[in-house]
Amino acid sequence: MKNLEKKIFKKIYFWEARRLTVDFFLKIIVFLSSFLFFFILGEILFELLKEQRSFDLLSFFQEDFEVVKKYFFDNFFIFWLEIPKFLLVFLFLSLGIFLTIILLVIKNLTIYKNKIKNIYRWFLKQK
Amino acid sequence: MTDKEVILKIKSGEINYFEFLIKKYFHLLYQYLFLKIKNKEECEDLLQEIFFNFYKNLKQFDENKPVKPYLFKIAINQLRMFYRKRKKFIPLNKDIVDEKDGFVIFSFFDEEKKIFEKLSKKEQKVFHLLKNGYKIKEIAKKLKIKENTVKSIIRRGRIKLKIKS
Repeated sequence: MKNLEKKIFKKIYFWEARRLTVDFFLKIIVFLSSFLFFFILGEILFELLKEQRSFDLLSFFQEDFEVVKKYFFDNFFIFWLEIPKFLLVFLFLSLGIFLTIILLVIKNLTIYKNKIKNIYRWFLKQK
Repeated sequence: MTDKEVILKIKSGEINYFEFLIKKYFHLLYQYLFLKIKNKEECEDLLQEIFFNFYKNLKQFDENKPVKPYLFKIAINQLRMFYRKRKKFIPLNKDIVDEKDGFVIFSFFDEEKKIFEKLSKKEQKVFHLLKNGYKIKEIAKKLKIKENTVKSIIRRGRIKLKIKS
């Protein structure tokens, strides 16, 4: 039984190690690419808005509170119309993926930690 | 430690706790398998697969449910697969070549040859290609006929040979 138990554990640990590696690798790739995508899209959007002088609309915040209160929705609506929506959707999508990966890693951190610890101990025992 | 606690531990990443489950159910499963197969080596191979499959599906397993029936369900499925694999394999024996087209029609045992003699030449060609792992699309391309024709030939052939699937 002892021998068979060892064989079962060998199979399980190898499978788990492989799965963990693939999982990490995929998560890192998705994390980095979504971050890069977010960064590039953000930069493009910023440059576009700068070129359109859309940021000038925000200068009205320096006015009196009453003026800001009165024209806030008008200004906001104009600003919203000037933003390229297509880019904005992709920007939020990449941000969403980026945050999801972070949340997933935080949520499963203890599981990852325990698994790595267990796999490491098992491999040490085999030597 | 109860099964539920052990499974929760394993789910939290402490793989070494799987040892408890192996020790608890090993003999029970071994007895069951040995009763069915009566071969020590094959029993051990199946046991390995059963526990490995159980581990692989542990993420979806509801810890509130009992482990034993689930393990036995895996064991039954594994046994089914084992029996399916053990079905008789007919080795290649004799080649009969269709001289017109120049490709092999039969590479079967005499017994199998007799069965296939019920089919027409075209049906034999299609079944031979099927046996060699060709897909319907590839057979249609090779024999220069429509895919639907190939399907009809297969259906007709199956009726002749009384093959269900």
